[in-house]
Amino acid sequence: MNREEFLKKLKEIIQTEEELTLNTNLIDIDEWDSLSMISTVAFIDSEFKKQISVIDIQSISKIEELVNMVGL
Amino acid sequence: MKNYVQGKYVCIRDVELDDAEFILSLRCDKTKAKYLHKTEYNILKQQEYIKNYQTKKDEWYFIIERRNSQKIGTCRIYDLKKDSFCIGSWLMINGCSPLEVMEGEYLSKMFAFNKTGFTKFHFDVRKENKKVIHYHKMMGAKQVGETELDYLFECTKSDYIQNIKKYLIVEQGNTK
Repeated sequence: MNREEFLKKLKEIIQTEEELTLNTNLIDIDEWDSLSMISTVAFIDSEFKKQISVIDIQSISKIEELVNMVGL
Repeated sequence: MKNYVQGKYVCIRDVELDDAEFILSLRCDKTKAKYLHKTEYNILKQQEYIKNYQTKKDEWYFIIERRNSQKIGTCRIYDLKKDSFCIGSWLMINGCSPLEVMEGEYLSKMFAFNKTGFTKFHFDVRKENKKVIHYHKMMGAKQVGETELDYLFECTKSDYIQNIKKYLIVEQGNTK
């Protein structure tokens, strides 16, 4: 998976119409709620075998941080 | 006797008459109401509904609260069948943490499993409510049917616990 595919998948998980970029602040997206956070944790675990806790994901602001975390 | 279960992040307790306004604020919220049966904003009617619930022996309506007693959500157990209960009315205020969201529902399910001795639960979700459908599938639910509006799901207790424990630390029917 490349960065573009990651952003596409994240958009699908969050269920937002907003265009996502690496600079997008997750907190600014209305649809970035608890269920989105849990689904993102599950997605990263299954796709990248990286464990992020549901507590830690709340402190992530920019999408770029997520991308760096999974090593893309 | 009033039912009350304390978790690590939230507790669940039986609904009371003065919860009517809180319930209506959730059920009549424009974003959340898209996926719910239509509810009229009428406090007296809602209180009648709660009164009726308080007489039921095999259905439970819970308010989910933070440790500081702030009301943050609802969850309801009903439609007991041979070996399965239905879980629904799972609504949370905006801004809840993932752990609060998961634990409120978890405590309600564990309460129902303990009370009924059943080994599975069922529920329906509006077809457009994709985020909630995805969440339940992550937690082990399997689609078993559909209506014009909803997908119908079932989930076993063991599948649910196996999946929820990836995100929430659980032990002997309670969280720690």
